[in-house]
Amino acid sequence: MPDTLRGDQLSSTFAALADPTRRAILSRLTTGEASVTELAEPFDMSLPAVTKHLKVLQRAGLVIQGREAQWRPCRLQAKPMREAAEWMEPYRRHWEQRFDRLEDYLRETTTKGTRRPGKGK
Amino acid sequence: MSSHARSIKHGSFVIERLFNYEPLALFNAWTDPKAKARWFNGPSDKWTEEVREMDVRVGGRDRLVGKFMDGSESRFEALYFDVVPERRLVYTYDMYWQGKKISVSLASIEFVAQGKDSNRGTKLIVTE
Repeated sequence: MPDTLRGDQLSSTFAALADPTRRAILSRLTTGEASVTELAEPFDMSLPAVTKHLKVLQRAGLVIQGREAQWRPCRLQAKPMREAAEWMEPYRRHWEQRFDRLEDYLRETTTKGTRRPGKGK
Repeated sequence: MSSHARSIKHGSFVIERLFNYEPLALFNAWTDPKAKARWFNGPSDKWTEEVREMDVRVGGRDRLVGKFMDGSESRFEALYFDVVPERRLVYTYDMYWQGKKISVSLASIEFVAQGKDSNRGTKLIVTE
């Protein structure tokens, strides 16, 4: 990997997101902070396995763990996720606009094949 | 990865939309040059088409060159790998800005028939 890419936040964010368990953990944390035990509850895996996933999320800066003794709650860190979403936004918008124009074109030119009035989703 | 590259980023995304038209109408809009020119272009108030060439078949190429109002040039060059009428298009494309290559992408366009009888439509799935 070139040096310029080492420590690249966007790469860490997407790598951390590339796992269903980690995405489920993040999704749970959107509803509020939780202890490691609470986070592990819905998963059919050992506590150490869940802790491992949490470590990846922490290293990527997506989750921070509080220092309060005993229960040490995990919390979401919004900034890296926001940066990832911002990075993807122009691509999504670009295609959404294209689809809008495609829809307009179809409406203007097709009479047969039109099934319902109004726009698709 | 080459260590000479200024930066390399890989990304992937999927965008879907349900259209109230049959797969044939969607497929034609993607493959008939006159039809595609109506919607696959730059913003009409800022962009003028200069070259549009299409050859939709496996191994065929598309080329779309346009100019923005500030004089900058965009170029899209595609190469088709899979063409299945009313079902699927797979192509790679390069984007150039002012003659400089800015991205290389693999795109697949799927036309999935939805519903039946009077409720037929197409789910368009773009994966890049």
